[in-house]
Amino acid sequence: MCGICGVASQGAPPDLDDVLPMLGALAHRGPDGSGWLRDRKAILGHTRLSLIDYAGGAQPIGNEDGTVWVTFNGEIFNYIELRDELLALGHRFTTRSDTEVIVHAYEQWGAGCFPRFNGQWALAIWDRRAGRLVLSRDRLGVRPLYYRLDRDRLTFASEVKALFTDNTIPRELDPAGLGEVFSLWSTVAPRTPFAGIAQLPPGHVAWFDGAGFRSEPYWRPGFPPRGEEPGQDLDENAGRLRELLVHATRLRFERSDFPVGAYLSGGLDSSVTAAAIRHFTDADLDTFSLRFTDEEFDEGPYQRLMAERLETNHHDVEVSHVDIAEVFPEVVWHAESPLLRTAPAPLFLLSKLVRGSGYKVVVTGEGADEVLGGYDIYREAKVREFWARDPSSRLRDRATELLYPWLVRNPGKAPAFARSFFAADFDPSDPAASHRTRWNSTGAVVTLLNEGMRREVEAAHADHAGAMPPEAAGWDSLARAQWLEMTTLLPGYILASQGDRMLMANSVEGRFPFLDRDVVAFANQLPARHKLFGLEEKFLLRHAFSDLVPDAIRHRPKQPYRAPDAASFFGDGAPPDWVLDVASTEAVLAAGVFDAAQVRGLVAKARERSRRFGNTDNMRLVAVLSTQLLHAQFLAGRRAAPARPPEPVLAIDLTAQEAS
Amino acid sequence: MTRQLAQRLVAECAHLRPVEDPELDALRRALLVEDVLGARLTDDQIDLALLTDADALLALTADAHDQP
Repeated sequence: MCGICGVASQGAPPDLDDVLPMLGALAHRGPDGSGWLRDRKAILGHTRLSLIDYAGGAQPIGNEDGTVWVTFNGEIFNYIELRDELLALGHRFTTRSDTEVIVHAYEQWGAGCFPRFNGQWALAIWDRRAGRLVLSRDRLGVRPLYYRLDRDRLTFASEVKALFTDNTIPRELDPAGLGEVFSLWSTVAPRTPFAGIAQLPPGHVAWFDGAGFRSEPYWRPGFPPRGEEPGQDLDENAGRLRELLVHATRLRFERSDFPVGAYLSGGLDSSVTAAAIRHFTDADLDTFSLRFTDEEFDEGPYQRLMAERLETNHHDVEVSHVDIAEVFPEVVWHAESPLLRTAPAPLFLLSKLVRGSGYKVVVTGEGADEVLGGYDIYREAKVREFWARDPSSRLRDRATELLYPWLVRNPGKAPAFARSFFAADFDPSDPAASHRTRWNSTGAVVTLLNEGMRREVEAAHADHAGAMPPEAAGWDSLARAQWLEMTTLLPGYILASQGDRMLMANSVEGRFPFLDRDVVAFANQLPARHKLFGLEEKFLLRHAFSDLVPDAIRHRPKQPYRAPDAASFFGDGAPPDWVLDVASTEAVLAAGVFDAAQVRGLVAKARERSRRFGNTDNMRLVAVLSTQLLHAQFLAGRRAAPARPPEPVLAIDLTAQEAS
Repeated sequence: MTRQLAQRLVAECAHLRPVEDPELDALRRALLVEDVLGARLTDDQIDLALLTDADALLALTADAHDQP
């Protein structure tokens, strides 16, 4: 895992002084060294977190004759197989790195190389002969890639803070981007929270040359028509899923020159990946877990159960409200987005533990819920569909008890709860029926905006369901819900604010077996019932690993990963000074996003009863604090980034070579 | 909806987590039957004896498809 940056220009030659500060801003992503390549029309930059071929893998890297160069963040896990194929086609390699495979693959197949990659990447290729910059990002958005396009110049980087080292770039929040975060939980690429800053969508390739800028997908999430899924046998599908997941986990664990650890949350997904490592590799395993002092959020007993079962070297970090509040500004600095939950903060502390334990890379369970049908939002949608088929049914009212066991203990409340649950927002013919309630409830944040911002947000609003492909009408409703998660929450929040950003903040790379190319391709072809079997989430995954994961974990109800929200800032005495600063009337007016009186009211309410805040007030408070921090750090305060590129520095100046 | 799919569904139900309340158990199986077999059941048909037998399911769902 690394940082990439650079400039390509069809006008005045780019200046190295534009790129060196970007390298400094990306030092946390690549503390092991940096490099740059200068050509007449482009400069590529790279900060390195070395995991494969430490001696030979410094970047940028070129092909045999120096006509194709790459700066690359990520891993191509099938690089050994691709290298063998390219060697047989006559290519000559000078390193053992996965990075070098990219330039030869591009040389051989052009943009057709990207579907052949099984991995996680954001990369930029400089094709000297064509005078063309090629950008690419992995299928689901594991690795970030931002850019700014001016008339004849494109600047790109792994993180927005690197782009903002150029003080000539205007810095403003984008109302449309804010509107997306305050409904969908994230912006949808190419949009970002910042005006004038775009991100390459996952699964896309882009070109910038004399003909301008254009991009297109090389992959899109897709599903078969309902009833036409190829494999219907449960045991066969379980066997195949197991085979693919074990292979994916082994690839990610074994293809590293440095030891790889594993996250262990206490849930099914990370238990599967940790079990796959212990049972199918020869290595010892260090596992890393989060504990919470607030018992409502702690999963310690399940983590211990699995760690003991697998005999891992186990490490954990206990996180309190105060810890979350203390690191939250740093979390927002790395997330580069408004947040609706504090959940990234404990993950920041977890990756710090990993790095402090001497590890640079971990395997984690992210992606299983999206790909294999794990989320409560999928179950809620099924219950709503069930009820809507016969709203007059006396029995169907009880379906909410299948979702919420507490209702079983309060039978008198069930009918009224059922009516409010089922009746709100649900239209079975709506392609986004599964998500409408979440989007609408998150939209409560918009009521806090000042009048001008609210008008702009509402004017920019577009229904994301409109982006769903036409063939989605023939998919199972679960597939439509999965598509929505894979195109919003997964790339924009789970893999970004909770994933890559919190890991990279402490120079740790995350690897995600559930997002393996072949696992996703297989999972997307499964019958819906093998993912969500009635209301049994991740049905096939539980079945496939029934021998390796104890029943206590396999059968426990889904516990979404969460952290204390408002209580982190107001629940233990006086809030930290930074909270009062960013939430002050002066700061709120300066940012120009929220209504100052409403923020004062929300803060007063939090002072009194943050521990009893419901979902809406928790989201509203975290949204205000994170957005205000974003303004303070990126727009107003211009927090200084480190000036020097990490050393050693590999410098490749093709213009100097030509001159001589 | 085929006999084979109904048989598969009944067999796969063996892997459901246990639920103590028989009415809730029947309800979740009814949800499953409707979701997978594309049928619509009446309250009378949301019954464990009917929902755990493949032949009964086929007959039930044929009736349900015929209902207005």
